[in-house]
Amino acid sequence: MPEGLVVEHLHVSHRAPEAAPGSGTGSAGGRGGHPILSGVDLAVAPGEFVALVGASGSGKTMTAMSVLGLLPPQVHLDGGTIRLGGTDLARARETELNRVRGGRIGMLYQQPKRMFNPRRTVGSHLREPLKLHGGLRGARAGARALELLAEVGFEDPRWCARAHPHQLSGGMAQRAMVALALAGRPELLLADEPTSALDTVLERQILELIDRERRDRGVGILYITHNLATVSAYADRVMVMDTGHIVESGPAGAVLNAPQSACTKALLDAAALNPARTAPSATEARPVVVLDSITKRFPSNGREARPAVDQVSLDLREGEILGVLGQSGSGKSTLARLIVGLETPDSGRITGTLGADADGTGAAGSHVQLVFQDPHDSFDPRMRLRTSLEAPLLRRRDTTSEQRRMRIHEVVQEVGLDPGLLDGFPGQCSGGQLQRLTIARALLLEPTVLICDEATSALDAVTQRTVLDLLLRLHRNRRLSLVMISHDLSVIRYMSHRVAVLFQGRLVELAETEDLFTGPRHEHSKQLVAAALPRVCAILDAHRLPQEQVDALP
Amino acid sequence: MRDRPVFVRAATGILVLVVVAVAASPWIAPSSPAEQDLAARLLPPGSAHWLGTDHLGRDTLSRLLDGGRFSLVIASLATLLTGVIGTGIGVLSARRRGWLDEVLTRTNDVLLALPEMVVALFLVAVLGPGFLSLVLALTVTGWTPFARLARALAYDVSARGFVESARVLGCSTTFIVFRHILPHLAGPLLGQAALRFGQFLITVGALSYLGLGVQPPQSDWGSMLAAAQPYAARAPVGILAPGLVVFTVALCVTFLGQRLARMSSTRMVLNPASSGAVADA
Amino acid sequence: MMLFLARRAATLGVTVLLASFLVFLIPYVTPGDPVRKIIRSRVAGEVIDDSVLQGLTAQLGLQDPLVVQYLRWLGRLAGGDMGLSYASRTPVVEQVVPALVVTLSLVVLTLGTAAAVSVVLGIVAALQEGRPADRVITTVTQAFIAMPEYWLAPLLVLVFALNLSLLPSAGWEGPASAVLPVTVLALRPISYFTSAVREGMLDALGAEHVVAARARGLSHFHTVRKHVIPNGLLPLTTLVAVWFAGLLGGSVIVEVVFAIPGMGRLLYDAVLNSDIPLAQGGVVVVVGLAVVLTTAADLIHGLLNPRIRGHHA
Repeated sequence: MPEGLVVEHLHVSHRAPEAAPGSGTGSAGGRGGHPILSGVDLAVAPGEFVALVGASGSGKTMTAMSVLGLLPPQVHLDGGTIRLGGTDLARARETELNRVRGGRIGMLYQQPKRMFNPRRTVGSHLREPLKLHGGLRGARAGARALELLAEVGFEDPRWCARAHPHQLSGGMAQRAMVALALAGRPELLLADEPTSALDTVLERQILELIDRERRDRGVGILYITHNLATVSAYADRVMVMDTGHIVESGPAGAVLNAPQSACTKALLDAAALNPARTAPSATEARPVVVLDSITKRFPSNGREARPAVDQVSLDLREGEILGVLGQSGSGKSTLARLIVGLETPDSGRITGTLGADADGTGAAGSHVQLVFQDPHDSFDPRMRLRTSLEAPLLRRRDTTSEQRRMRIHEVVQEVGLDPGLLDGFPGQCSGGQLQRLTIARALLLEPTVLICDEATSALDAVTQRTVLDLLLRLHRNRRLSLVMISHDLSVIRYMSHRVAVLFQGRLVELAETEDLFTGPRHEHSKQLVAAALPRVCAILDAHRLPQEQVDALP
Repeated sequence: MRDRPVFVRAATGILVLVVVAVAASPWIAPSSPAEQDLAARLLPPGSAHWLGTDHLGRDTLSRLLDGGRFSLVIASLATLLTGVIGTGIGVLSARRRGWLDEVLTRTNDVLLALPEMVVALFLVAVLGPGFLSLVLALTVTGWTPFARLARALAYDVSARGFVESARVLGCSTTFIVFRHILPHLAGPLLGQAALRFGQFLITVGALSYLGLGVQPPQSDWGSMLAAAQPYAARAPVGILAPGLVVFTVALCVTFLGQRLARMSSTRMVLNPASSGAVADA
Repeated sequence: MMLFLARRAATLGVTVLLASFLVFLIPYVTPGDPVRKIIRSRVAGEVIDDSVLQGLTAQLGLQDPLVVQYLRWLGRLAGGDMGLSYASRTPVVEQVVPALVVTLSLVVLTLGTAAAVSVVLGIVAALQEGRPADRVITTVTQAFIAMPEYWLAPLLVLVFALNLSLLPSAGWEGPASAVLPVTVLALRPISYFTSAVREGMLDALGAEHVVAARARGLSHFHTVRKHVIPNGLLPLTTLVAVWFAGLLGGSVIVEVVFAIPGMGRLLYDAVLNSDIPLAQGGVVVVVGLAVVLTTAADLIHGLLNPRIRGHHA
């Protein structure tokens, strides 16, 4: 019985091209190199599900690439051993490694679509490992490819085999990638954030698929993720990584129940956005924005396009936080763009009932403002932040530059930032700081409605929390109405009074937050709520601990 | 190697030298470009005539300095005209979209399909050779690369979050175009302008070489080359010198243009978002 | 895809009509009496007195509205009737067809050479990125853009034809006579092609799916052969088609210097001699072909790209 994957004292460093190559046998960090991994130890037994958790940049992906012997140029393996069932991969020859890659080790990626050659069909990709590792050619390889595609849940494997990568949705591409990883009958699967780009329903399906391989065929799984909640239901053991070190490891239950390191605690905190408030929405409050049966369709290369937004009627009440929940492609962002007037509806009316500038085409006008998902993109990289913030004020000719300056400083302090930041450029700020600044910029126009389109999705979990709390504070202090658009149920539940569920451009459910989460009515809402992986706290009790497998390690 | 500052300085230095020398030619030229001396025909380079003389005994260096004015002025004028027209049309296309964009883009496609040299021949046939038909010939098809580039870039920049933010925040179109969009276009467009200048310089020379550009007694680098060609075996400097000047100037601006285009494109690619978001305290 | 094709076809039609109308107008916008010019292109006799002129004007319908005359002219053009050359007094079509054959063979030879050279240079440069081989290839090929043909051509003639007597200095007979013109004409395409191949290869090499292919166990060599080179060479196909169109009218200098009886030379002579019918015929053929080839380049791009091709299903 092979021992699975065992990695010991792995040291990897990045060396600028100037640093002399060749002298790469040095100890930790190497000479003049910037260490990426410092003494990483990990083991994955056959049939074991190990989660490797850490923030971005902690070295998770480099660990996987070291195992495959595919470190990028300028990144060097300085020391340590990597054994897979008795083979020393760190010292193996290239031909030996080529048999391991795709044969004994299968790999999954965060962006499966980019991992397919865009000019080749899925079937032609599948035939490669089948030929290399299984010796199958021609019709037999084709038949096996269809079998694999059926195994990972394609109802029409023939279509998929003939499809080009761009024809697959994100979830389908990841399934196809799983089929590709399984083609060489691997004993180990390296999964590098394979579900981070997927919504909760698809995430669950892919995790089930991977876990099935573990159960049925005893495949060892090293599951890399930044999200503790995702894997808590599946992992036997959890290893937490921070700046190239394993800072904590142990049985999943132990790590999650009694985290030792600050890093683990921060990750756990971030995963647990407890619904803090159950304030009922003020039903008697007057509406500030009313959408009356609006429809928007985008022309798409001659094909009959489903409307991006389909006859949505909705009202936002004064002082309310309205959550808009939907998967990617459900029309959430289009809805936001329609409300602020970046797009005009094909039919229907949007009325803003507060501003004098409201007209039939959109509620645009300074009283409705929008915060975008990517804070780095929301500022002109070549413009000083102060100029960016001042620009919208320039149209009001009744202010002096000194007055504007005072206003800007006030608001920037209100969002918790130092006005000194304003003399810099966007590139000098973190994502969290920039997102606060986009909020500040919107507040300068004294809006009554702030629409946040996935405003915290690009931020790491800890920063996300602080920005959400800032929004809640602004909501209270300024009686700001908020529209929180997100695919993330925990964000929606944390923030909203009422939730609107969008599915394929249509509004399928509109309910008080707690009603939705406890008793969803529409089929799609049920699916969304059910697929949301159980919260960390909830699953801890029920967590299975296959301790015997952990103990079986030598 | 290609990007060493030494090369940039050398290319800039050569260009400045050529432009200054050409501009100052009435004062620094060793003799009058038109002064004939039939006793001193087709002389090799020497102390009296640094680059020798042509078939009419005229001083090659003086004619080179004098002829540069025509070539450089036409190429500069054409670059400026096509650059401004092309950028304007490109940005307009990208901002207005809809039918106007469609019409402008189709026009662009149509003009792009016309061979530049054939259009020039056609215009010269219609208008007769000369300064005006040359500038016109270069401009009619020459604005299209600028328009394509400006449109593509303006389209991309317009879709960026900061432009959409500016729209939501109620910034004026003037502000958006002049403060957000054009600064992002400047680098690549200047690079393109340098590349086009080099090509215009070569094309002006080509038309003059064919006798369709500048008319005697005025001469430029292309027409000098054509005039010297029958005597190439006896006096090779006559064709070496003017061609070398065109080649060198075109090479320098092309090099600088490519560098400029590359610099600005890497700056655009260097999105601060990729430098890693740090959690704020 | 169908929409794409329809749009392309419409553009093609409009362009050809527009260009041909401009060409039709030449006799009206050039100095002199358009009626006499047109009659001269249709009647073999040299001297035309006023009485004959009246009759011919009526007979040829030269007092009809311009649009009617244009349609009649277009009809004759479609039938291969381009009138009589002023200079040779023979039908223009008899000069245009052989010239076109010569230019087409010159362009095909040039592009074949350029593509072959560029594929090798571009692949080597990309695989050696940043190393001396890449720097030399990139620097030298980029310098080709700045090379004036009207300089290089006489210099090559001076060295290889006059001094060394290795190759003929002019004419279009036999392979030896093609060496110098093809060399001169190929430099600029080589410059653009090499850079396109290099960029395409670097993009293809840097694509994430290449790492994924390695992770499936493909060797470096196989990955490059199966996933990098086919993807990397793609941009070249469109570029070759675009240059095909460009060189049809862009070989004037080379044809003049080397006395090659092609389209460039024909157009040049027509302009010099104010031979209006000849110029009309030449321009119509060159522009028509160029427009068709540019459209073909777009179609090739569409056909080779599964993303666009997929849309017609």
